[in-house]
Amino acid sequence: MKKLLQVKGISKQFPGVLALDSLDLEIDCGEVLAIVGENGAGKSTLIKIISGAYQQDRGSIIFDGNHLDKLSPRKSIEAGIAVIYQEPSYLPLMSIAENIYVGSQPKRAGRIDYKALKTQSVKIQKEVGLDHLDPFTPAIELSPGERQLLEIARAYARNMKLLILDEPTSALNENETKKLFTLIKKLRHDGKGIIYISHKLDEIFEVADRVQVLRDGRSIKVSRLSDTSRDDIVRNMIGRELKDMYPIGEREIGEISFEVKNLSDSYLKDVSFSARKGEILGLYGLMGSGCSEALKSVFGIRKKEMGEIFVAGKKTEIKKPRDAIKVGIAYIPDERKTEGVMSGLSVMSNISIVTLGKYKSGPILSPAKEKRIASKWMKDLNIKTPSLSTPIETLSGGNQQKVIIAKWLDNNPKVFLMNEPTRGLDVGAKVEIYKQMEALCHKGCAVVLVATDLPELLALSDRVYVFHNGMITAEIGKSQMTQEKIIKSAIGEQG
Amino acid sequence: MNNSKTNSILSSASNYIKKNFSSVGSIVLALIGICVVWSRLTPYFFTFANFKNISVYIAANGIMAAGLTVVLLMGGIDLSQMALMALSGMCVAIGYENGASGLTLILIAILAGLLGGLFNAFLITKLRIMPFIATLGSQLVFRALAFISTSGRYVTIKDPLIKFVGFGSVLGLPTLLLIMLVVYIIVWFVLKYTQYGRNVYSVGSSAPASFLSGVNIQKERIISYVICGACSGLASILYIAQGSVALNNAGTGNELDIIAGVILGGLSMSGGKGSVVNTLLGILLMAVIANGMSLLSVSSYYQMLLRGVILLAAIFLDTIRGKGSD
Repeated sequence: MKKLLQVKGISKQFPGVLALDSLDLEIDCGEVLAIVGENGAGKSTLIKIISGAYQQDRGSIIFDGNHLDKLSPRKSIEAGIAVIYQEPSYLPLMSIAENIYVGSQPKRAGRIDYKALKTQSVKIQKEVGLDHLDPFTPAIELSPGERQLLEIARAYARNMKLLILDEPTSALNENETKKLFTLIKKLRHDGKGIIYISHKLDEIFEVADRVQVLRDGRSIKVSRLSDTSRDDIVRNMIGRELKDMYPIGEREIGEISFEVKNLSDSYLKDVSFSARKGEILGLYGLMGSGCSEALKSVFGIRKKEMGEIFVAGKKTEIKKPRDAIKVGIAYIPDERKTEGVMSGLSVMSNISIVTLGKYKSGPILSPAKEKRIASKWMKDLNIKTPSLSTPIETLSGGNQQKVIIAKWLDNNPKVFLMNEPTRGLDVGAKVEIYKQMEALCHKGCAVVLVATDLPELLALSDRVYVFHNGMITAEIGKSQMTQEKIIKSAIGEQG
Repeated sequence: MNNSKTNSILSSASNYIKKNFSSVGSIVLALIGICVVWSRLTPYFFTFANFKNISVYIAANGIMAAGLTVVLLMGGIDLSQMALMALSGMCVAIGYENGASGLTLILIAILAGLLGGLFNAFLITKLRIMPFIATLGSQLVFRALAFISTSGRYVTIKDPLIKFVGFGSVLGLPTLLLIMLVVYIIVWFVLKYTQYGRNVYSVGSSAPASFLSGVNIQKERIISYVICGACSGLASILYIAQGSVALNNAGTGNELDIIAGVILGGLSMSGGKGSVVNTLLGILLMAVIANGMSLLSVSSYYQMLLRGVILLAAIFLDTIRGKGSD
């Protein structure tokens, strides 16, 4: 096999951290290399160096037989390296064809040649599996999965040799993921090199040839996937034995403390479910199935047309989040960066936001009291931060999520709605969040969990409701819970 | 090749600025630097009388800047302040012509400003017009009403209390300056020690996250614009007091000075970052620059040019600082 990319002894220093420490990496043509590592292991720094966004302090990059020195994003693209980031960067109002050829449209007599644009676009769309769409469809009409394929199409049009995918499936549903994998296998067959970065080990075993584990900026182990196991990879990632991924033990489940009856809105149709004290209730559905919408409706983010909500047996009118908070409902949004944390503000401000009213004497806030309570939560939840006044965005994702949990714990929640609480977190941080869920259950709180990661949902939930097309299609108890059964209900297939 | 060289120079320059020009200390340094330059160029600069001049000069703008701080921190903007100040001044004039005097005039000014702020809040929270456009529009409305109120006539105001505001002093400090300082202390306290103040920062940092945490975003927005309006109203008294006359065209041409000063002081245009200390320093910096140029008899056209350059530089700084937060 021909060597496509050789990275030798790359180091990169940031103020206070050695992000990469003489790292080596090799990939052949026609190979899929998976890179795994906890957040902060150096994965993104590595991609940014290969794509020219950062410059390494030491080390060399040999791509396709050439030394690449002083790489810039432009040079990297010209050399044939394409990076697809988690959030697709497309022009929403432009058509598929225009998106593919942005900046390099075929021209005739100085004007854009739309005919040529169309035929070329159709050809490339066929390559990536977007051939069912008209090339002049606006990109905004595409599903998240199709947008991802669109980005790959753009890279394709630029004659890429190496494709780097950064957590490509985080916004994709089952079907779209399958489609992406088919494409990856095809690209590998065509002799392209693919670097696949993901937290999802299932995917890596399905799609990759080799896996390279990074930790603290160093390469810990490179192995063929046929010679390694899940446990081995996880152990290398976290650098310690992970006895139990899901530390949720036996709990006492009490009476029904939360009930949703006949909830309907523009999307949901007659949704009813209930949760008990100390129970973890899972809601599952493919993207667009309505389970995330159901949480939002309950919390007063979406407008309800019909339906009743009972908390601890009492009927409550919830029109906005404030109403829900008053009766003891808490909510973790799926978009942590934009809806969860308030970046620029301190950890303390982020903890006290919900219960600020408690820290008042008269109309005046008591910073001393606020600080005392915030540091108590910091200790209880083991939030790793230099101080309470540190801006929250500088914390790791897991610690940010713990701050969000802390702000709700301070309000003593009876019902905790969690929308993808571990999305984008590394394994270690996930476990910490699971521990908090368990602690909540022990306090008699009902946890309602929406998670697209099925193994996680199965391991945590006492019961699962499955959504399809805005309706609940199944209720499955712990004893009968299988991945297969849940998926079947989620795609609308009955028994 | 040349292009990439320019780029690298620009990016290293912006890194330098990001590192060195974002703290309060750097603005104090800039302030001292300019004072040193001015006092070298003119002997009149470093005199007690001149410092008194500067403090009088900044009082009205300073109060409006304090109001603007609340709005900017919350992620909004107000371009209608100068026009609202003129309109509040004309309300005072009409009150004066109808026999009102003393404290009543001051109350009229604040009430007029408050109502103007409420109007802005209505446009932004109820009609959901973008703050920039809403206040650009209301600016015209306020200015037009200021002219219509007296058919464009100036009104001379001779009131002992107003005269004391303009020319009196307490313990050797000009009353104008004292009023401004009191406003700053109040705004500082409200921002730091009340729930409303803390919510201003939360909404400015992330409106969705605040909403999901139970903050009444609409209410806090309304309060902020009302405070900002009330500050414009109060500023009109200081403006009138300096010339004993209410002008329909007060502040024309200086609409953006306050914004330039506040941003220069280190407040973020996108909200959530900074405090009134930044505001005060920024306004002071603008005033010292203007004062020195006047002392050096720089032509007013060039002064205008420099004001424009400062505004652009301030926004450039804000852009660079914004990049740093990611």
